[in-house]
Amino acid sequence: MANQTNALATACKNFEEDLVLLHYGDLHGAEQDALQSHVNGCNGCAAYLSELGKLLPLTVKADEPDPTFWYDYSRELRHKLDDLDLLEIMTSQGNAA
Amino acid sequence: MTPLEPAESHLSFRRPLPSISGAVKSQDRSPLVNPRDEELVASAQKGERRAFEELVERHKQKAYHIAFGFARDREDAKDLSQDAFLKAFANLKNFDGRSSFYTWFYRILVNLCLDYKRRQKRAPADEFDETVEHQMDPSHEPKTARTPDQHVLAGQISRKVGSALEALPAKQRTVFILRNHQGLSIKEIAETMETAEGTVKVHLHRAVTALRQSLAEFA
Repeated sequence: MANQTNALATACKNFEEDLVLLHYGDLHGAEQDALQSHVNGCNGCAAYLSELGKLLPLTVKADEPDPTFWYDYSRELRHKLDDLDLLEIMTSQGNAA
Repeated sequence: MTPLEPAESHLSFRRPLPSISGAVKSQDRSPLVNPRDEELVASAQKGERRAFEELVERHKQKAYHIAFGFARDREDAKDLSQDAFLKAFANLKNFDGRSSFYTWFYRILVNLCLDYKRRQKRAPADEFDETVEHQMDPSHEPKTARTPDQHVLAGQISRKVGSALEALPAKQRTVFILRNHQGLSIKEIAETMETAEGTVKVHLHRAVTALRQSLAEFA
């Protein structure tokens, strides 16, 4: 169980922002190749990248409601849209009167 | 369509939309059977409720998950995402098509989520973890049985992540949720937040840096 602070990996400062982009797959072409080749020869950046791959997925709290939830979601929203329609009709009638 | 019709018939278009005319034909898509968002918006702007309901069906899951990323509470996420659809519906006549529907819609949603967070900050202490744990349907728990230690660790991580996300400035949190949780591209996030891609990258890097520090013990 984790209850003490582990030392975090230290990447080259000027590559940190791009390493985040590389993690998310937002670097392409020559930029991606150049950084990947740097990472291959840099222990700090390689460790940083691997740490992102381990830590960032922990932040996602998955919630996958079942089909009933989605059915109710749509039904409830249709009722709210009906109310909105009704309100619009009443408002326009009120304005016309 | 009347509200009395069976709900199933509202869920998605089973038949071609008669109101969509002049749709652009493409080789890999039949526009009449599977209209683009823009075509549905055009129909909805002419008063076709079913077209809007189809947009809801297309985007509701992603909208809900974005809202859940902010609220981390099922009921609030549902309300927030539904409110975004209602607001979009009410303002549809103002949508001019300069951006895609989903960019426009997600902008509405993100603004509602940010308002929600602002209101929450003014409210008494947030019961983040307990709320989430209680509202999670047990049927959505991981199928593999957890040991007591794993349960404790999961709770510990959940609390840490919750407070770390709460501590992020609003723009950093927004960028992080849209990229990390929802997989929107940097370009899409920039359009949604009406900011430059470079700014999005800076926010993302800062958010990741802050979260790494908060979660260091799990590295």
